[in-house]
Amino acid sequence: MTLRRSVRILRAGLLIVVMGGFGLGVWRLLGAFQTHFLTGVRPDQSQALVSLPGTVVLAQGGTLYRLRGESFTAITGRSGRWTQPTLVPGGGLIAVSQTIDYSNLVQLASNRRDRRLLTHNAAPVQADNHWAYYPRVSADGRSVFYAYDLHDPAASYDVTFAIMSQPLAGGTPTQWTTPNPYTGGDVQPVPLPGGGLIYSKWAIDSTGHTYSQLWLQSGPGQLGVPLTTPTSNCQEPALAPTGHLLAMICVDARTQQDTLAVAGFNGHSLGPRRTLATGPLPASPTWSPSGTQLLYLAPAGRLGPFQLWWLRTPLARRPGAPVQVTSGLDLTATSAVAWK
Amino acid sequence: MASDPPRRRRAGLRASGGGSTRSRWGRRLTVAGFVLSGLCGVFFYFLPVLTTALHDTGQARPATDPGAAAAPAPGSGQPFTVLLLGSDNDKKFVAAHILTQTMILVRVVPATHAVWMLSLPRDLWVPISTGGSAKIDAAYELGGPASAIATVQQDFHVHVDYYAWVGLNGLVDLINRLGGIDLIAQMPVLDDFYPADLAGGDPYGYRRVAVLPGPQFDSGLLSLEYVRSRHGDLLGDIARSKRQQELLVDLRAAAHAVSLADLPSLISALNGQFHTDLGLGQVSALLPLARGITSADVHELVMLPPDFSYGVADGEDVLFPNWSAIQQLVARGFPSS
Repeated sequence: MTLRRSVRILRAGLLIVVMGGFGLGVWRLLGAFQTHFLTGVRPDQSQALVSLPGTVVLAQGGTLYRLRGESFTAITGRSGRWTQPTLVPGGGLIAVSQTIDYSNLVQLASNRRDRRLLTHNAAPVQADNHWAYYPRVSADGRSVFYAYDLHDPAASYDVTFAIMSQPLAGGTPTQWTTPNPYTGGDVQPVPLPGGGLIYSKWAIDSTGHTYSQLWLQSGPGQLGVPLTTPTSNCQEPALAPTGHLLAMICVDARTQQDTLAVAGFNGHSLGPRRTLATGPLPASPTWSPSGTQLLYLAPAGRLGPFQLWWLRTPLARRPGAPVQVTSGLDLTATSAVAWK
Repeated sequence: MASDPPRRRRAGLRASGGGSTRSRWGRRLTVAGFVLSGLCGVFFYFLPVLTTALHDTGQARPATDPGAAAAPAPGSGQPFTVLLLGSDNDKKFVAAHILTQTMILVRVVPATHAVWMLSLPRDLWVPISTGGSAKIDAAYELGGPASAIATVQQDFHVHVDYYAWVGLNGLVDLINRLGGIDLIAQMPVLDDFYPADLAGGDPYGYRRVAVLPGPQFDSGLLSLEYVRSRHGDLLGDIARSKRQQELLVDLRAAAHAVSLADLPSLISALNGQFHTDLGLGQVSALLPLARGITSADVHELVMLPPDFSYGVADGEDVLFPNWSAIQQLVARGFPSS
């Protein structure tokens, strides 16, 4: 009798435990229906979906990675401060090392151990710090161009980017452009083989509309000419190594959509623009070393973190569909990749 | 002895009949137990939603317009107007008396999917419903949502059906829970005097920020830097208002991916950082509505000179409204009350 009763109590107890487990299961099942918002895995814990020709250097979460074949390798520490790598002719890279109040350009040798600080933007007083972004090395490999924030001593709120250049071997920086005050300024320099410069200039019109234009300038302090109209709102220029094609991003500010476009460049002006990708959110185009293929960054679905995309035949009359190169990453969209 | 077997059979039948009843009840109890347990699972999963529903949604509607008709429910297909309020609710302010640096009137017309957004500059010098004149961002400080709504209604001649208030931390956490947000920074945003309250932990300190232009996928903190910074822009607070409207459009796009199962997590992010007089059902009805709206349906209105002129009042830099110009702007998206 006692035994049967004990068995009954045991069975009831087990049943209660199972019921509790069922409730917990329902709780967890509901959780399983949550949207899995992508946060991005580390590239070196992932593999590319396709094998690209050559080597690509890209940035994610403040670390630079090298993509060769389908494998990623971290080439900087995971300090969370590296972005915007660019190639140096003859080997090595220049990249931006950023902190909360300033950023510097750093040259990284091919052996990944030797590093050289190219700018010295840290200051004991916070307001004296500076930013340096968008490094690009001139075709002859002798100077580096970049965007640098100017402080107007008469107007402490006006902090605006201007394009500077300085000898890679060391020396005094030269200011190339005069930005419009209180607009964000001039960024994304592209030094031309003939010695000039293409860059993105921001402006605000009389109706309060903010827009960007690509500008061409022949020398430091020279009067530049716009290559695109205010309404086309283009930025992020990328010149093909041949020097005759310019890829760019043009933004429709009203719909918050943008396109990747390409236009011929004759050294003075741009030809008609041809749209290569309409979205979602293409960004930061980079030409292949041969100048016949393009890489750019964009989300994989309608939304989400940015992945690497490949246009194999952007110059064909009917360019093929873009090929998705990475999946599940969170690549830094404001950091164009370097491709060699 | 001869009668024993039938008696035992009867007794057995009785016993099995009683056992069967017990077993039936046992089965019912077991099923009820599982159902109850499952319901408990559902209850605890949605507990944050219920808590928020009790505390933060369905706030008593401030009595600002006693003669007005009842507000149309967002799911009813009728147009409605929401006053969105945002506050730098950092340690500089007492919780109940904070300014609303962000004030955006939103008109939704479900039939056409049209959305009109009008940012009200925080420095606009207007008559306040509680008496006297002040910057419009002080209306909330002086009398809470009721005062903010009444001030907007009396000055802009627009009927406000609902209000929703969100704090900075809530916005940051919400975007982080979404994993981040896609946006196109319309210009480089540089600011040497950006408040160090959230990232730096000093409510009175400053830090430098640089948000680079172009398409990007940003965390909550970086998104906030983009929409909160105002010093390095020619249009100052007005430009900030435009960027805030852009962020709302981007958030609407992110809502496409949100399901009912995401609500507890998202609601937890807004814990104490959000309140509205919309009921939970009405908030839920907004989700499918938001999914049906495209970027092209959203019309952004921003006040610029000559809608106002710059001046000084009570020793502060303010914007003096040009009411006739403002009424023309308002009329583009909002029916007069």
